[in-house]
Amino acid sequence: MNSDEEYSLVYDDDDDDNDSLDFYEALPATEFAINISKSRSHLSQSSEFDIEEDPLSNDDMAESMLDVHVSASAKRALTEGSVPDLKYECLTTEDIFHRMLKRVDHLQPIFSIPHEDILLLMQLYDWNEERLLEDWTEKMDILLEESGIHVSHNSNGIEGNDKNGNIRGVKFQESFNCIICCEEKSTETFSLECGHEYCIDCYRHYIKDKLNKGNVITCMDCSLALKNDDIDKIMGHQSSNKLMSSSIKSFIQKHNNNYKWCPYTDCKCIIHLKDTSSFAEYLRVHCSPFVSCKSSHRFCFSCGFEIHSPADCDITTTWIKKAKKESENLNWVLSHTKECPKCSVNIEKNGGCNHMACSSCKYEFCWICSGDWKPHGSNFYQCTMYNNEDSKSKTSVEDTSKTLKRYTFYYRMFNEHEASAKLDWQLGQTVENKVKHLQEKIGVSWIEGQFLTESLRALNEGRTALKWSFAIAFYSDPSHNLTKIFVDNQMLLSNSVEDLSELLQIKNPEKIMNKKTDFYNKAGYVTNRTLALIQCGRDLLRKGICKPTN
Amino acid sequence: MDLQRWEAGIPGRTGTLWAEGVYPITIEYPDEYPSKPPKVMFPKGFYHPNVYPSGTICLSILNEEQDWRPAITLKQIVLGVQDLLDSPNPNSPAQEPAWRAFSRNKSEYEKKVSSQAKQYTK
Repeated sequence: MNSDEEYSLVYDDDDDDNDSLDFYEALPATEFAINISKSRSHLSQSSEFDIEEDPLSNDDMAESMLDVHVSASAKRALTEGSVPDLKYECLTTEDIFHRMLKRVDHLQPIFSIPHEDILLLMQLYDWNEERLLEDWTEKMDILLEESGIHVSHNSNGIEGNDKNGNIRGVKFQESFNCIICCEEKSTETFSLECGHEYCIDCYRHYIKDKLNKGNVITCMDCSLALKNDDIDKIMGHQSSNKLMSSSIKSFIQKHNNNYKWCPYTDCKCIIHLKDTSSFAEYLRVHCSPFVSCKSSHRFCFSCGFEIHSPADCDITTTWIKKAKKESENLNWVLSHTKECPKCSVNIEKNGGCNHMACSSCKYEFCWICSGDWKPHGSNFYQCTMYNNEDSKSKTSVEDTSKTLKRYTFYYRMFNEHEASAKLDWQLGQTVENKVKHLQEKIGVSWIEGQFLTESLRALNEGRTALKWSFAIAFYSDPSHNLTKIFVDNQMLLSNSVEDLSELLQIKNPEKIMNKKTDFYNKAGYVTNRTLALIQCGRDLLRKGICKPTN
Repeated sequence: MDLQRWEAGIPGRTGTLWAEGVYPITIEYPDEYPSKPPKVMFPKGFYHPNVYPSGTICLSILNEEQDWRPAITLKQIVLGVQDLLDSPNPNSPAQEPAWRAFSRNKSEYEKKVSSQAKQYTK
């Protein structure tokens, strides 16, 4: 049944494939111009829209602006079917905790026990309100005892303590004998109603070790629970917040189908997918359901990896697994060796001059330029010959018959674009400064300076798509026509990305303003090429030309 | 000398299959002790349903997630281990041979335990 459906879906798509196939090939000049003007109008529209929407400080605007563009381009890239957009929100652990507090407020009239106690129960039940309510109606008294809110009758019997004699809280004791650290001293102590009293230092050590776990902390001897208030009294102001946030973290870990951490380093954002019902459908139509957190980090919600279109999650994970397995060897080989220009054996240079003689085929060549040694003459230590990388990479493209060779090539490309993407990220910071410069020096309005930010975004998107397209290319049947078209698309995008990247290196503010049209044109072109590549990649996947294999 | 690593012997309780032996254990105190429980181990391959092949003892009071409390004393621990020797808990098996024999073939289990007791005889 399912495959029928899928087939019809593919078939439907085939209809507009005819148009989009044309689109894959290089755009004719006229069409190109139209596309640019389109993207330009789109640009100015959303800019105006932003001003009305968001009369905040410039920095805030820049951020929200980026968001608008991201989602707008996402729509253009992906909304072809009638699949609803992903509805999600970006939260922090504090946000979620505040929501939980609101739920506690809500529950209080039902439970009619103090807020703190409900919070403790919620923590014990992993913030699962339904399950708690169920148990509460069934066995209220047992629950209160089990959770350590009320003194358990059993333990009291054993200890033989006088229940009324013990006051919860911190006290000061002259010459107190603590049985945990076995020291006798005058110190502050803490005990709950159970009367198990220990010195404050031992309690502090104990709680400090427990704060990161997120579980309910109990008395050091019995199961009576410490409440947030107790923790704050022992550890100092607001220490219980740490416990609460640990508890929320474990809650997120347990609900990872609709809560996901942003995978970027040091980013504390959590994406909450509000409606999971449409997610499967969305995933079927789009390869990479990406979301964007408050700090504009974009990642795939399905696999938690960075945004990876045109590749889908399957290809991505297989590729990454393969890369992990092979990369250690390969990285070493790539960084420490060069191929003999004649017989392609990998050679490690562990000393000596640049005059190399291949131990396998005895070919003599220059280590720097990989060229024949003969024309070098007596320039033993310095090669001044221009290193023509292009011709070298072309030969390795042709030589993709062996799998490892083939993989090495794609992996190298993937890696190179990853490295470039990192540099682009740094470029982002300079671009921000450039925008400021433009404003201060030439008196360009903020809106007018935005073409730089927009270009950078296009560059980033293009670069990521390009990077992942090598994973697709690797797993695709190289003899198929569509694969060839895909590779052509790759090349076009690659060229346009490099062009744009070069343009963004310009430092002189006046020069930048003069080249404004260039920026628009090139950024628009990159966006279009990215789109075309993503569409083409999706077709490869849908038609089964690209399949993950190990 | 490592103060965080103790060695001790648990005598089998008189009147049980284990009575003849004194069973060596090592007690390792983690840095977080007493927030975290010490790790108590018999020799590798010790024959008992609740002892892992590595020798680690599966006992609720020695489990941080379960019944461990910082106020639990060493005396309580060793008494707990001695108690466990003759009253294994079939609901939390830690090794296959002893557990299988204990639940299916008592006579084989008893034979093995007696021969182990002779191995660790006083």
